[in-house]
Amino acid sequence: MFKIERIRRIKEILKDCGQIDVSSLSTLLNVSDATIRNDLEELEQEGFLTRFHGGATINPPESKEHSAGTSWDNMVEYDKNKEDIGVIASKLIREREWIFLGPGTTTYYIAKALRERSNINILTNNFGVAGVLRDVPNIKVLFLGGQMEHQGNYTIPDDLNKELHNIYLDKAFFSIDGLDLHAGYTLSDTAVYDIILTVMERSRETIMAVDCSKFDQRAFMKVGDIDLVNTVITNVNIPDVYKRYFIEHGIRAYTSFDLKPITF
Amino acid sequence: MEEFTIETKNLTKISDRKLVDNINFTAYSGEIHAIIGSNGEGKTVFAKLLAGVRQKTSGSILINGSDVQIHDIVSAQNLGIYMIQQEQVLFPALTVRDNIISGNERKVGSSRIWAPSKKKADQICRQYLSKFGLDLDLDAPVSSLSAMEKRIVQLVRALLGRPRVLILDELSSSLTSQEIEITFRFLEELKREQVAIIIITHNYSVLLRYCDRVSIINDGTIIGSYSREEFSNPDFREHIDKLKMNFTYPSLRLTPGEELVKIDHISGGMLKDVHFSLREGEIIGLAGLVSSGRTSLVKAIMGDLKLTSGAVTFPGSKERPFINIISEVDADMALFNCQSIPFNITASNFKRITRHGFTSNKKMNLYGRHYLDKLCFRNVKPDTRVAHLSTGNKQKLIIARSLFNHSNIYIYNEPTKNLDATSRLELYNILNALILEGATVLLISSDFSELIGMCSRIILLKDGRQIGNYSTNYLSVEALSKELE
Repeated sequence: MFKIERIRRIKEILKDCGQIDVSSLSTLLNVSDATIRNDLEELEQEGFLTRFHGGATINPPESKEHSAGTSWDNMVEYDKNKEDIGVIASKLIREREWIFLGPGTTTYYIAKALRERSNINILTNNFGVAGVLRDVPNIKVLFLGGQMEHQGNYTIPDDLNKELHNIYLDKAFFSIDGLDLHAGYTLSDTAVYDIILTVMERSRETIMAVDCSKFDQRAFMKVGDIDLVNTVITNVNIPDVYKRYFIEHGIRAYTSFDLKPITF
Repeated sequence: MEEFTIETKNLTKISDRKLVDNINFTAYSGEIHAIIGSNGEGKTVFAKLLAGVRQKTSGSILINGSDVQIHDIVSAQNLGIYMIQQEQVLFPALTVRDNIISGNERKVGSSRIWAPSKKKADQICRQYLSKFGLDLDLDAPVSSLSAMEKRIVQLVRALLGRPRVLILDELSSSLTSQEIEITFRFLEELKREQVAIIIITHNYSVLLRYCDRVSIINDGTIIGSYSREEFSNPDFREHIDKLKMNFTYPSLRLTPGEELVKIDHISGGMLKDVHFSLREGEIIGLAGLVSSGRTSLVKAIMGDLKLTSGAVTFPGSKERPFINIISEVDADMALFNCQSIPFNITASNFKRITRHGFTSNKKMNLYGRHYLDKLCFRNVKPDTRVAHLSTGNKQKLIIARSLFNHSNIYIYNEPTKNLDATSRLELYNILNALILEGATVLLISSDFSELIGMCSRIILLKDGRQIGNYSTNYLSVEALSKELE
């Protein structure tokens, strides 16, 4: 197979399945691993994909329809797992509800999935969320002001209790830095700790949006045990022990599941 | 019959890996002994060793303390050990009568030479079938029976052999709660006749209601046995809580989109004026007891049933669309047992694995590996033999096959039977993913809490008549089973 043809096939395959390892590609195209690695390297320079150990993952297409969102797209590294979580989370939100979206990129993806919706009220301290929803006409966004946290792209309100005094929320979504069977939910940004606990009190339901990379990880500060919340949204490829834990503790576990047919 | 015990000592079975590992187990006559555990932990293999279906690698089986040799099914049956396997072991083309009597001629008739008279055989068949509230046409071929009726026919055949040890593998998985009750009322009777009954089950409520002793299998070995008095033991509770069936369903209610299937006042076969539609993004439940017309309805949607009035139409697609069906037949019948796992997965659409007009093994294996990975099969490699898969994994394989052929209409009949809690959670999330992609799912189940947990609406069928089409928002399991009574 000629190189040009091979590159075209690799592009097709990656568009279909998003991510693939070198060995599958080499069996598929009947060439050696080394050839595939060369091709992938070239495609990486082209900006089509990103390589990782043993394989490659496609870069997100530049979306034209969401041109307003692009400036934020550039700031957030594309993550398929988080995007899937965002879609499921957005479906749990009903019309006329008051929603809190916490700091982090996962909640940014929830906001992104909400762009086609209307008649939803959002309270947030996340610049990403506010940015992606700023031009959506029928979603009301309330932004919590405060000291700006540069790295995490969110604000820390001076007195959250005062801000949230006499406010009630239907659902609050948070992401977390680590989830471990023994350590529970853990954070590295200590400021987020207060935000989560205060908002939880004000919200009828708290939902954790945790992608699979956070499992079996431990960060600095413990927020609570895994049964802290009743609903978790995650990816399908998390370790079995966690699925069993969720079932045993009556935690509603949504997992994204990629059904898109791939073509080899 | 007198009392006895059946024991195993260090029973071990090694195939490509250790399936059963040093099991020491004792069952007593006059007790119902349940074996529980997750999918693929070796419950079925262990039972098959007892019944002589598979041969042990080492260890021994003892009755009343003395060693017995079981090398095949006949030697097991001579000892009075009978097993109702999960797979169907029937002659599909033979009549109900022949299936029950075959192998039991000597036990039915008194002559050593002649087969028992038809009259005598009929009388015996009727007598046993009526114990389960069944009145079957004895001349009908077994293939025309429903899954539950086939199970009972198998059970009756075993009963004619006057078993001392009766092993039931997942008897309750496709039965409704009423049918379970009838069956167990009968098993209680057998218990009084000093039969040792061993059941394998995933059904937690069956366990607590009917069983006298429970053994828990984990990783091929028994990690605990508890008698009824010990059921309140915290140790036991902990094990049970893990297997408990009250499940938190990941329900996802989407706004329904376009109509995909319209069932417009159809009658024909068993059905009388059934009317509802399936829309994009919806999981619709179908509840009804066995022989309420569920199977006829599926056939009607497939176009396999002659309708006397009404029609099934597919708005939005010009020609008849693909419909993906998981039927109620046992996993064994639905799979190509002699073929590889990748073959079984890709069998729903061979067009996708063609290369230059021929099917390509390479492509088949790639897809196979991809789906094994995607559906989180445990302990399975692409070259594992299908016949050696655990029942849970066989069921997953059927699900994988239905997903391989992409379409937007799915009819799943009892998809969660034989699945443990983790795999069920995975399946429910697959259903969610299907509707997120704009598909519609018709979920047929005898587990009413599952229907209420996952579906947005439930269609109730009774004797072929549609007696309800309810939103699940305010529906309870009790209300649902009351409606169907």
